[in-house]
Amino acid sequence: MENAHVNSPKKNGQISLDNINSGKKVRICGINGGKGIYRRLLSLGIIPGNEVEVVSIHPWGGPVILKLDDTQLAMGRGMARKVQVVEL
Amino acid sequence: MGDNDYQYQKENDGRIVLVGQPNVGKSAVLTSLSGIQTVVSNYAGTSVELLRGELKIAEQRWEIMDTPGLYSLGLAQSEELITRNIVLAEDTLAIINVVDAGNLARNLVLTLELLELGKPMMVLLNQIDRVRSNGVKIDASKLAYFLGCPVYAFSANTGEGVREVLEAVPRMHTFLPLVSNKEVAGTTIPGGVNACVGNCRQCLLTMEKVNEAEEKVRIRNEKARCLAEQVTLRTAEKKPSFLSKLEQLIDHPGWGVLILISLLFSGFKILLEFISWAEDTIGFLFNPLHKVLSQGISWLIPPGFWHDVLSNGIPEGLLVPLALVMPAIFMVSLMMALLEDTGLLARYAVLLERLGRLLGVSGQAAIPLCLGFGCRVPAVVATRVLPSRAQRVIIITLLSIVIPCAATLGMITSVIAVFQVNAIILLLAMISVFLILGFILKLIYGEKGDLIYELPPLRVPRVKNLLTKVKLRFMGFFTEVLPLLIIMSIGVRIILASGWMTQIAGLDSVTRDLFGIPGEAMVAVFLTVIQRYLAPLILLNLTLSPREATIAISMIALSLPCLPVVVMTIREVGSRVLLGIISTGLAVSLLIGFMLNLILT
Repeated sequence: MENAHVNSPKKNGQISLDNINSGKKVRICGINGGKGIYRRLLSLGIIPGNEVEVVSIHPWGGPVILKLDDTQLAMGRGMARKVQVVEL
Repeated sequence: MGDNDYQYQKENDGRIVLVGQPNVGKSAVLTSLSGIQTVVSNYAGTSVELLRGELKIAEQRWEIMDTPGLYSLGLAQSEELITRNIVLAEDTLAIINVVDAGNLARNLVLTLELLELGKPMMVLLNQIDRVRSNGVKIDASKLAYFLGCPVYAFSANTGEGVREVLEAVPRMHTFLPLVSNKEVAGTTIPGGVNACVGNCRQCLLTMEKVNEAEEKVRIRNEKARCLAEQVTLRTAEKKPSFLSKLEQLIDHPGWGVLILISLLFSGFKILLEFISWAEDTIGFLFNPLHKVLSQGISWLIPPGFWHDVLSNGIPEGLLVPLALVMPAIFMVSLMMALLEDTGLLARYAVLLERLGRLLGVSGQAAIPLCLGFGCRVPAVVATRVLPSRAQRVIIITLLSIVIPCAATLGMITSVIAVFQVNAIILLLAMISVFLILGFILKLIYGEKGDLIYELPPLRVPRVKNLLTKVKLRFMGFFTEVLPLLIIMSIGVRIILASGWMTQIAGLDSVTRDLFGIPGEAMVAVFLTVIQRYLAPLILLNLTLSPREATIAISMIALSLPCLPVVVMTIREVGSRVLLGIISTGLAVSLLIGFMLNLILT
């Protein structure tokens, strides 16, 4: 399993999830957030190492729709800002 | 570990729990396993309603129980703790882990964790038919080998696997997970499985142990991904079904908005039509009963105080709810069940999220607020779609005080027409109260809540499930709402008969000074507590100037919830919240009257 990015310090290519265009696939690298957010994300499968597809981004600061395996998730912009990813 | 207890337990009555992540179809599995013999029960100390069923196999009876979906036992929060407690309870003999076969990797994370508990367990690969039609094959026996517990391909839709599972249930006590999994048991929950019943939540607060739990999730995640990959075989390219095409359209930021809004609008329209149709029909049917009741009471009780109270209070408390509240609750229960089961509810939450943020609530809040324009009673029920109690309190407060229901709107418009009320001032008053009150409530209760939730796939709902859900929400009407309404309408009649109201009418000079309206109009304002739409009727019998009428109707429109809403509020969020709402409502109403009296010339 690939988990080279887990807990790794910031490096090239790591950006927050809200900067990704729709249709792109990314790999989760880390979560900059408090314990509560971290757990909530973990429990939903936003786990460092997992691949996620950005399906669509709702305008005017609306939520980001993600696809994880066959599951779709809606994530608020504020939360997306806290998730560090690399584009694949 | 108490493995032996389970192993040699006499094979009679025992509890089996269905555990799984949200949206995997646990309830559907329960219904398909136990037929229609499911009952609903509140889990002790919460408002969470759980489905229970009974299995009778070869003279043995098994209790089979649904639980709220959860992603991980170790990370359990709020409602999920209920599941944790049930799973860990001594008298829970075995676990049926329901897994969405289409999301194997993600679902197996929980499966692996459940296995660590060391309780007898089987895994159901639910919705296997959908997965197969997508051109994916899952090797159930290989998965069973890796997990060390029986795995059944299952479909609540087609009935596949039902027989196999039912046959396996009597042997379930032997389905102990393999030793390798059992060894880890007890470490997930600090203090060991048997030592901790999970009630205190204290163990979750220690940071070190939290990190341990998080680390375990990560490890299980890796393991689950490997497992899923090994047992899954993609035989054909996935051809998009009609539903998934529709889903793409609805999830589109542009088209989706149009579709969702027109659906909402037509649903709203249907609701209003249904309520007015039902009110006429049921009202007509019950009219004779109404007469019999009041005449019967007149005959039984000699004229006097109690005669007046009971001959009015009992028919009102019985018939108004039956004709008006009952159909409304029924229709809204059905619509809510449809919204949930089709997967549309979550889409509305996405669509309306930006709107909800203004009030510090999640997007779903728009649904009860919209319903409130029809009838606020079911709207209070519908606040259950909101994720937290605080959000429900915000929305119920706004509903009770500001949002006019269809009946109120009708009455308000008739008053506007009769007295040439300044409708713009009324509208402005309502909007500003909504915004200001919303803002204050947001400061008190609002959550900055970062939103994230699952968007379930669009599904064609199953009639059986819909009916169960409607029954679940609807039955409360007869057991809780109706008795309370009768008691409270008698109470209101006592207040009326006691002459308290006529004393207010006598305070003519005070009400004129403060609010610029005659004392009789003030009585109407206080009458809103019975039924908000009755109050304007009193206004229609008075002679009021346009200015007086504007103030009075504004005070009525922005005041107290009607009696059925009061009862629903008690039932849904408790009487303390209700007291808060009533005092806020009175304050708002008096303040509006006072302000308008100052402003209007």
